[in-house]
Amino acid sequence: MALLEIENLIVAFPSPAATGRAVDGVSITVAEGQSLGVVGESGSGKSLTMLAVMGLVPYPGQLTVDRLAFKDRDLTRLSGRERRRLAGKSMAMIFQDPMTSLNPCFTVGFQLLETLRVHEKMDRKAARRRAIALLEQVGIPAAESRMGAFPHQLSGGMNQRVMIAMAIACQPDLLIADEPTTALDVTVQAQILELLRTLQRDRGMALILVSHNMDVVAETARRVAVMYAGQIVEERDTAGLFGAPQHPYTAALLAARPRPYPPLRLPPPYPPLQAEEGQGGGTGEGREGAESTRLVTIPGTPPGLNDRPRGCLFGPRCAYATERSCATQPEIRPWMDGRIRCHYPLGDPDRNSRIAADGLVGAKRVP
Amino acid sequence: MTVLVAARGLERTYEVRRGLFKEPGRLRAVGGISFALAAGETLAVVGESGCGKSTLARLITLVEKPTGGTLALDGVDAVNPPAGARRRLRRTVQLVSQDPYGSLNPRRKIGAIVEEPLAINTTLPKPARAGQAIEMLAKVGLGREHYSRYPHMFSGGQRQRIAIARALILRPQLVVADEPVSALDVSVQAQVLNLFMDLQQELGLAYLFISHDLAVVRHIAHGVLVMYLGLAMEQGPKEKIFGRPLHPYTRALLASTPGLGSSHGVPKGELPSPLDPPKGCVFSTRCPHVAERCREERPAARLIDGREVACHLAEQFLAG
Repeated sequence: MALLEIENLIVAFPSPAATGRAVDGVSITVAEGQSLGVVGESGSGKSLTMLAVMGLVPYPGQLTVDRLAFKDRDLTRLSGRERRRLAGKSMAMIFQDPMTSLNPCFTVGFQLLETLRVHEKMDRKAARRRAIALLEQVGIPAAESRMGAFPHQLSGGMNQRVMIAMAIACQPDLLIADEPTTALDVTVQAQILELLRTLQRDRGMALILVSHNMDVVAETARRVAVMYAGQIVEERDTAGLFGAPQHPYTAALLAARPRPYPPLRLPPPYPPLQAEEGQGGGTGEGREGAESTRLVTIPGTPPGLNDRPRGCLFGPRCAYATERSCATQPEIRPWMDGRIRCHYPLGDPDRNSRIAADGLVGAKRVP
Repeated sequence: MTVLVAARGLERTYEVRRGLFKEPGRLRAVGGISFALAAGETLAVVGESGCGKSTLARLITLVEKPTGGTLALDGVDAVNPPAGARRRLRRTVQLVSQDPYGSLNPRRKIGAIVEEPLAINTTLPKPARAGQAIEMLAKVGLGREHYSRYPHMFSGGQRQRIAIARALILRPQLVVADEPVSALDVSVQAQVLNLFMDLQQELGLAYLFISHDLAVVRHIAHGVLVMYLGLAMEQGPKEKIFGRPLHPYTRALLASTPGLGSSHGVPKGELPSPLDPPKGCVFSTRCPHVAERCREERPAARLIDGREVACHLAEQFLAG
């Protein structure tokens, strides 16, 4: 059964000049106990989508959605009070920076107890016992004495563990982790990811992991959605997506990382356009042969909120863009074991003939 | 190959006040680091936050004086430079810092930012400085039209290019890059890494490349120096370190990096306080292979299998 259903979510930020859509028609379904990774560069709308689920879209964001349901309850129809009862209990969220998400004026014990007392209506003693058990569960040594510590007395990794303890305090069915390890060192990051994986497995909790780091997502989630400029461009099983990406953007992102994955073979016979002078970019194979140490890059930068291109949003940076890409925005459609938003998925056997028929434009010069 | 940077036993300690009547604590941020870096090569310094890698950067860029050890830049003593050599020394080494949003003055134009080192260090007239700045901007992939814009008009990747242009305008031989790509998105990160490598080939630069991202390090470095609590744990050629890490801490770092290693072998716990480091081996509190001896006696760096390792048990790891 679907635990969380989002259909055609749009979050728009009006400004005098235009109304930019920071999230533009995102649909996500998460089943019970499933883990979903959401990856994208900064500004791709991945965090905002999650904030919308939690009912935390910042002013002046305007939310429109066809359906936003949690356990078949329509979240858009709930009163503020009912919504608050749900958030923090059945669905919980961990934010990126533990140092700023915890209140510096209160001890971590107090903040943890608050969750338990509000949602579980526990008395002080029971809540305290439970809080200590939770801190132990997330791997904080000497948990009892840490109850009285203020956030500044704990390290970043410890604070993140406290955040996780708070999030799982009421046994949520869905945990949203927004860049939970970005502020942490690698060894601590590995510990936190392991903790999230264990919790997800043992409690049968659904997990949405938002990250800009492809490798973190690959290790943690079963399914992955890739976002670009407010839209999902590809959503598939982790193994499939990393093994044979179908959207040119996903492929380019994977190829842009320094190893561990082998360099991407871009399909022939359209040699990607040579680097635009001045931008240092170039999508390419031509270069790769000569200089094996160069990384594949995506020319240009993602479009801003108010200067989205016509047609395919990735079109101006895509090596395979055609006249059609520039004119019509591709709809997201079922493809292989998931969905894709591209006229010419990389695994499509007749993509070359179709690209030729539609007139290859290639990556245009991006200012 | 000429040795450009020669550091021997480089040390930096800070006194930390702990209270009115307590003895000040001694914090050893860098506790005896030795390395040699040849012209045109890249040495990557890796380690977690608090391991002293940024302090090392400050020592190499002559921002701070070491409290012990020697440092020679291009054969000249950099700790106590001979009279008149200090200015010249400072021109040979430049810094690119982590945060491209914080390192550029928002109230000055790009041209002024890139030219400033020339204005301070040379007697060139303004038009000549502008010419050089535009030339340098072109090298990092920016155009003439960017010369009179302000930093806020640029994206993170472009700002980092500007910071690189500013660092290179004095034609340094060594660039110390402190986490230069960790604030950038993947696609932009690739562009900047490529730029670093192109410039190295074109200008014969040496890089001291500080990073916590082992995938990036593996891509760009020739040599690797792994630091923990101010001490070198393992250092040597990249192939050796990544091919067969011998120090448990190096292994732990590799195991922790998503996508590079497997997830077992991740160390428990966190970095101990640098004010109160463990008595024996500094990694002994988190090491999965810790033995009696490790807690008592601090291991000295030894040359094993083509790299230097500071671990009592390194031979065992090599054998098995």
